[in-house]
Amino acid sequence: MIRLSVQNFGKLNARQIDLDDGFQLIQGPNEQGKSTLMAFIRAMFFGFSGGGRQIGNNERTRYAPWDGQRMGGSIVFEQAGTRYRLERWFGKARSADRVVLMQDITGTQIPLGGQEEPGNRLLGISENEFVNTVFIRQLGSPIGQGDELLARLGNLAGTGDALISHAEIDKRLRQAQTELVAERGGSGRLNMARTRKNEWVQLRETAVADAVHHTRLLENLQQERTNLKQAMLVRQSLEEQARHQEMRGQLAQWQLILARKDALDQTFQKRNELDETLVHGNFMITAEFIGMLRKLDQKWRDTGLQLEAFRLQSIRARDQLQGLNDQGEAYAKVKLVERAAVKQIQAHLNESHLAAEQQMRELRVRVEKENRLREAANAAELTIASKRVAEGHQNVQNCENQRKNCQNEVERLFGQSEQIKAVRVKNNEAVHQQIEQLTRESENGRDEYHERLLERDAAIACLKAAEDRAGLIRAQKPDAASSSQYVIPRVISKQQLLILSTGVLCLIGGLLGGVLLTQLFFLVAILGALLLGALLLGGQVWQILRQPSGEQQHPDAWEQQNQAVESDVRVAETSLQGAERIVQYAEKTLNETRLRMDTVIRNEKNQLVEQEGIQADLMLQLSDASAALAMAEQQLIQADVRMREVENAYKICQEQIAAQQPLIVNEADERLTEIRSSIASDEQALAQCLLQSGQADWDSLEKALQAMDRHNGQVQASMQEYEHSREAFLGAQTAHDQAAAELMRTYSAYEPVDLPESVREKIVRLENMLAQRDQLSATHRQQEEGLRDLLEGRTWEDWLQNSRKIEQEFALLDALPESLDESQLSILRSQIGQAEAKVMETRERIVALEGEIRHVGQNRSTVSEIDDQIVEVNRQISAMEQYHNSLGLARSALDAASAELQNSFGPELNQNTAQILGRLTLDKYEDLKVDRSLAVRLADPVDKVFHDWQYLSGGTIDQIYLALRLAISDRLSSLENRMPLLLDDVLLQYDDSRAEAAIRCLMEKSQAESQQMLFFTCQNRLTEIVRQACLPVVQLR
Amino acid sequence: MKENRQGDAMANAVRIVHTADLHLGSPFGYFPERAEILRADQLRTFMNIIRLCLDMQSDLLLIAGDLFEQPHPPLSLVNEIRDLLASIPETRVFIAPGNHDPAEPDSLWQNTSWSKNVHVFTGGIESVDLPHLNTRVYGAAFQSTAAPEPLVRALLPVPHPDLINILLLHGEVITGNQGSAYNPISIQWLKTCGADYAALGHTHQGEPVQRLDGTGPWYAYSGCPSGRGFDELGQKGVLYGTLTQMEQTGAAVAANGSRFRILTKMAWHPVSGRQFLALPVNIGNCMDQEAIFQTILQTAQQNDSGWRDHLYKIILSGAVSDDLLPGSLFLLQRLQRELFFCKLVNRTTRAYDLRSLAKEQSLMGGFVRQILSDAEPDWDCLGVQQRQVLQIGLQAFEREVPYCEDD
Repeated sequence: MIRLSVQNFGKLNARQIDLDDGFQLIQGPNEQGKSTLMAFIRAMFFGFSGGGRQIGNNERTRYAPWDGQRMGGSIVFEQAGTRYRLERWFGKARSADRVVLMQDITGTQIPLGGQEEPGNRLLGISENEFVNTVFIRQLGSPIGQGDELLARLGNLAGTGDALISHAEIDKRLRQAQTELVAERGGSGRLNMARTRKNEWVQLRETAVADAVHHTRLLENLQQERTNLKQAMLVRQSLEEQARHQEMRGQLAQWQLILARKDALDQTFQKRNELDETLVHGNFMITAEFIGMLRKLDQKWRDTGLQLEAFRLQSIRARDQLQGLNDQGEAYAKVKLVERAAVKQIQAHLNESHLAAEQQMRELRVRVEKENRLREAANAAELTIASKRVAEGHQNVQNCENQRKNCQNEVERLFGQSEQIKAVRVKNNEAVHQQIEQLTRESENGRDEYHERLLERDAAIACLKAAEDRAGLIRAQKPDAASSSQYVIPRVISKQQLLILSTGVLCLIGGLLGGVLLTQLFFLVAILGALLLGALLLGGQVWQILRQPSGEQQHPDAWEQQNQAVESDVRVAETSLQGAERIVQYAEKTLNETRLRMDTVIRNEKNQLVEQEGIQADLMLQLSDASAALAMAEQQLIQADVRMREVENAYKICQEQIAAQQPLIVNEADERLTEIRSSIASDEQALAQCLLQSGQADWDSLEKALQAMDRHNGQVQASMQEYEHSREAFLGAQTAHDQAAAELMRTYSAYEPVDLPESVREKIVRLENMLAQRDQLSATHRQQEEGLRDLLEGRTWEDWLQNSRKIEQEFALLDALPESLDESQLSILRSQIGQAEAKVMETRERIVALEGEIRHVGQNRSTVSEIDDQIVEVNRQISAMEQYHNSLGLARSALDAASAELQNSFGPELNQNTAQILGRLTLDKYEDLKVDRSLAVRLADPVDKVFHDWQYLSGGTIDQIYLALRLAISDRLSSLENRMPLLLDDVLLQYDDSRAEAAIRCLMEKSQAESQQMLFFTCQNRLTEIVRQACLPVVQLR
Repeated sequence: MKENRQGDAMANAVRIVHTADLHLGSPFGYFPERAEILRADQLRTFMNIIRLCLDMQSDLLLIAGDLFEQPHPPLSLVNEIRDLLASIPETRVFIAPGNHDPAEPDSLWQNTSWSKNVHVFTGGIESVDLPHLNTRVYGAAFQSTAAPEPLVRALLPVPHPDLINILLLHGEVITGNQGSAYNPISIQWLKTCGADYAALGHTHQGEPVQRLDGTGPWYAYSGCPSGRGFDELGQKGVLYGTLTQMEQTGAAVAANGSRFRILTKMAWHPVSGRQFLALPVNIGNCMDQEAIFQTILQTAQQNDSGWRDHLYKIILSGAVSDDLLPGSLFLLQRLQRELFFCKLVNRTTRAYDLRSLAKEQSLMGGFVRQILSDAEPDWDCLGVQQRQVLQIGLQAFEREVPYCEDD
């Protein structure tokens, strides 16, 4: 490469770099475009390979300038003595790249193939080869990536590509195979598909069997349908026979109907003829008319009979009357008696007798009854009256007692009320006294309490004075050194005066209390106060007297004074405590007094209320008693009145009973007397009548009169009968004539007639005719009914039409169907039933078969559907099998390629790598082997034993990597025509000594093999080495 | 009576249209969004057949099974077909139900009242005489969805040597001991059955009219008249033509003893509108998605004028760079806007330069050399498996190579 011209490639723009032969260093700090320049060289010869959306994988996108200008450049290089110029402008895709290869001197353009890259053509290697040989990058940082680096080194040694691992590729292929067919077991997509296919095949067999079964069922169904048709034909034939028989029967019946119809018509004709005879003009003989004639004739005959009967009866009545008249001569005398007067007398006499007897009976009964009643009334009235009188008296006595009781009660209540009033007055007085006493006690207690309070205040004042004085004394405590300076003044302090006055007051208070109060506790308190006052006075006087005189006071004196004051304080405190207790007791006493007074007042009030209640009750009772007294007096008065009334009524009753009995007896006697007189007069009149009739006694007269009455009655009846017979005879004569006239008149409506006697014969004749007609009508009706029965509800026309049809149908037959008797018909019906049963059975079988066919046909996949599935799964299996085979072939090919590579590549590579490694390590490591398992082993410089590279240091691995890369690149070209080598800071991880050794090695190699080497680096240390070797350094800024 | 070159006189001729396997009412589950349209297309195809019958004044329309997809198709569809068949009263229609629409109980064949010109064979072998055509038509029906035994075991009942005997069957012609679940029709039986022309159905690909042993009966599979998937590609149609009865003279005597022999003049007539097509497209020269898109459309346009209406399985091939992503969803969506239906099968390869690779002194180079052996290092010169092995192996140098179902 002679010159690189970069236009808009990554961060490089308008850069031209002239290159020399041999080793040259292109140096520049990071981010100056060293890697970009290397990528430029590769892209110029081979274009961009990677694609995709990710910029990391898409170099075309990564190196595209941001300003949108077109990316490209040119490289001038020489190959095989010819200088070329390669221009390339990159488009959006490889196909859009514009590549121009020309001879630099002549400008002759060299055509390139469609997809052929200049690198392929001029360098004779692929891009992959280029990258893996002359395009050497760092192995990578050894830190933390040991396994990765070793793997890359292994790949490099084994495949010539650090990024390609045979094992990895084989693993990918094997995985794909395993995914299709598992190494163990039946899993894997291909196996699953085969299983699925087997399932479908089994399903197909089932479906085919189902289909065969289905077909069999259908054949059975077809057979059954044929059977059904035959059975139906048999049944139809039998039914046809039966129908023919029925038709024959219908024809026979039709003949019968016709015969009946003829007879009916004849009857009808006869009846019509009779009807013509019976009709005369517009008049028609009817049964009613004949009946009417019959009735008239009967009437005429009946009247004739009556006439004869009445005539005979009249004769008999006349004869009987004559006989009776002859018998009446014997009753001439008896007739003289006035039958009515005698009967009246007799009746009156009988009545009088009866009345007298009745009166006598009544009188006796009444008297007896009245006697009983009177006795009972008398007894009752007397009892009642006496009882009432006694009750009245008792009542009066009771009322009197009640009045007295009420009066006593009133008096008692009044006395009780007065007593209560007296007690109330007395109680009031006692309560008032008690209250006054308690009031006094309360006032005394209050005064006492106030005084004790004053005493307590005085004791407090004394205590305070004592304390002040004690404080003063304490403040004046003399120092031991200057105790002589202390002077105790002999004066009486204000506190002392206060204490003295308090003591005097206590004494006075105690004396006054003793005078005023008499209770024991207060006496004790007063005595305490007196004692306290005396102590206070005594103590103070004693202290005043004990005070030393003179201005100078000795400490001992102060001590004494102090003790005295302290004693005063304690006394005052004791006094105050006593006063406090007294005050408390006085307060307690006062409170108790007040409580007691409150209790007394409350009791008084309660008692007052109670007495008032009792008083009110008494007043109410008194009022009630007064009212009861008034009522008792009133009742007493009423009882007196009622008693007097009872006494009067008793008297009246006694008088009425005494006056009633004689009156009743007299009335009965008078009535009896009247009756007796009436009987006597009646007996007298009766005697006169006997005399007049000549009868001996009343009984014979009575019998004669009765016999005469019976004879007279018979004569009268006979006369009446005779008269009646005459009248009836005459009436019958008239009716007989009228009946004859009516009969003749009626018949003459039909035909004229002379005598009624001839009508009867005519009637008989007409009756016969009518009867004949009726008979004909009845016969006609019977015949009609018979015909109707024969027609069986069908119309005549229907029968006619039907018979014609039958005749027509029979006419079509060759011969008339043979007539069958009943037994034969029965057999025929039985055969029809059997045929019907067979049809039904066949139908049931057909229904069952159809159901089974539907059942078999339901929910099953059809064979064709299963076949579709099998075709599809077969296609999948075929595709997978092919893929599986291809994977196997690929694996085999890969193994073969690897073996070939090892065989052709291994030994030479080992040798070259070892040589280069020796130079890189200054002959430290001279022997290296790459075995068939692609493991790199290195001979120990001391014992020459080969060690696995995992035990080597990171720096040594880097050296091995570089040696391997250089050796691989050497294989690419001959020694005479070495390819330029591009190294991208490959010594970055080396230490100084190793880096120097390596760079010198590279420089020597470049010089020795005339190989252009472009070493891109950012390390200044390498720059110096190169400069020292007088080799070119291109600064990339 | 006309005479031909052999001196035979034409006694009778009958014009027939022979079709089968329409599968009307197919679910088209693979094309759920287009299923309704495709079903309507099937009906349109049937209308084309009816129109053909009218145009050529066909005497017979022979439908050799699988007229419907299932034995219980929608009533509306059946009524439509019934009405269409009734619209050609001059043409006698014969239908022999197949394994998809067998004449099982309660199937449409039992429940439909067809017009007088239609005869459906619903049971075992039976025949219908057409005296005015001097023709007898034999036929039998599938009773179930499979018939592992032949529907017709014996010879045809009383084939009349003076009539044109036509056999209408749905089944699979087999040879030797080969079996079939779909009415196996042995060649031997076919030779001796007594028919002059066997109109067969079941094989969707169709088989042209052929004659057994030169003297036996003619038989043909008409094939399906419209495709239903990418396994039934291209234009589909029916067979139509004339069966002519020639009276033989002289010493020529037919094998069946008839004084007549039958001449067939049958042709294939396309009736399908929309087609299923497999469209191989090489996108090796495409630089971007747009170029791929345009290349596909151009390739489709070259195929047919009505190219937008077809259903395409577009098989992409050629060596492309990784950044092209030829099977992308975006490309598919763009294509679906232009075409009635399409699916993409990506069989492209990465742009490996086999020639360069073969020279490499590396594992990859060695691998390529192993596969190529003596073959030219050119993708197009390689066999299918060779190409696949190379593709898999080279791909394994870069990434995982799991098996992908792409077809």
